[in-house]
Amino acid sequence: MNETAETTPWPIAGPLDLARTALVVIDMQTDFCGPGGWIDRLGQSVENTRKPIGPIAELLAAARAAGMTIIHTREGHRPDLSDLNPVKQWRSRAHGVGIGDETPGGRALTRGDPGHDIIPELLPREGEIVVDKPGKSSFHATEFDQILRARGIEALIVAGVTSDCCVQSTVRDGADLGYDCVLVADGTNAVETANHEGMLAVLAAHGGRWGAVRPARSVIGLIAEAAQ
Amino acid sequence: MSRFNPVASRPYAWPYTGGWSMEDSALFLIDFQNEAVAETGADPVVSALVPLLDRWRAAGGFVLHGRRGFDPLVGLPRVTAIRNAARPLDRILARGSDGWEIVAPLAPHPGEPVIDHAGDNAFIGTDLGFLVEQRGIANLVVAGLRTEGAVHATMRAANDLGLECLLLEDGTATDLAGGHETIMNITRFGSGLFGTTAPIAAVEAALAGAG
Repeated sequence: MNETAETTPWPIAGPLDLARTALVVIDMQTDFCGPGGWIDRLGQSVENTRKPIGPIAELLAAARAAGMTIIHTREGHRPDLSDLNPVKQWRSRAHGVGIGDETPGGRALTRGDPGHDIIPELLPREGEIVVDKPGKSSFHATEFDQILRARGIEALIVAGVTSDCCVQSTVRDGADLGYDCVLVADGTNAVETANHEGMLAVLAAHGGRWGAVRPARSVIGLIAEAAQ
Repeated sequence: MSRFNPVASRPYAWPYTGGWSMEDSALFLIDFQNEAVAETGADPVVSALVPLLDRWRAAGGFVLHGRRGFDPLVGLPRVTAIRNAARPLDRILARGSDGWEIVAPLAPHPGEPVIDHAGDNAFIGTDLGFLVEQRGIANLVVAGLRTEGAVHATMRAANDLGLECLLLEDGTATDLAGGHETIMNITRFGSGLFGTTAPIAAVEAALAGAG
């Protein structure tokens, strides 16, 4: 946990307004953090990407108790792969398991495939929004921004995987668009530890360029306080 | 137009299609503005890019320039403005203010689009995506400041759009310790999840037909 990031205020423009804050849980899918999913089938360990499950479960409980807007995202493509760009397809094949390819283990990152589902521990509940996205940024080619605007959301609590990919892209674009973002430090992780640690250091640059970084207990405390 | 051989880049030879030309490729110089160049000590980077820029122009290639800043009539989003005002370095400047201009050696030529963007991701709130689409650009060679800032944010967005990006390792700089290495690693991991990286000389070699 970087001390510089800890000192960056969040929220920065006034007290926490739960009606204008969303909890965004990114891509906690079997493909990234479950047995038999894409990462597992690539021969990489899901040990890191499973670490945030506990803190995210606690965040979800706090957000549900407070009646907050909760949004879950899933990275994946239409079954006909019409939204899979050729570069992404080529690289995924070079990496070992092509996105959308028919394999005995299923079709990686493809909507409707079991691996695309959110893991059982963190399943969305009725009334919670699920955004399916074909890219890394939750804002790319989705309704995400329209959903936030329709709900009057101004601040984002961001957790999920992976910190170096979809989580970081979403925090960066969110900050550019004027959302007050806090990244939950123990609510995110990456397959490669060096990337995760490097990403946290980057986000802390110049006092927190894109927002704050906080442990889950700190964010949960703020939610509980604001809910009273 | 000439078709060039792939560039000797990591983790694979760029572009993945096996060749490129000035019709399907663009050189994007991001935010080489006076204050950012001074804060990051990027004068050597600027000097190193000039011969490539000359060669790219001589070949009739498409050059794009990023220029970060906010319209003083508009300002920044409220939260962004508060965070921007709180930091001593890497500030988003008002358009037209001291330090905002692109440095002279890399100044845009007439006809080269300048993308004025208020945040890091140069695709947000600009016509960059539209310009690239209209020109039929598939491949981007990227240089700029800061490595972990506008350069990486813009490459991430380009990647989501399906553009094949090459980041010039010695064509980008930052004052954040460790930032350069982190971004190079995140760009290349996962068989090039966000693209490839190469030194400027590797692109020059491909342009010279020696690639």
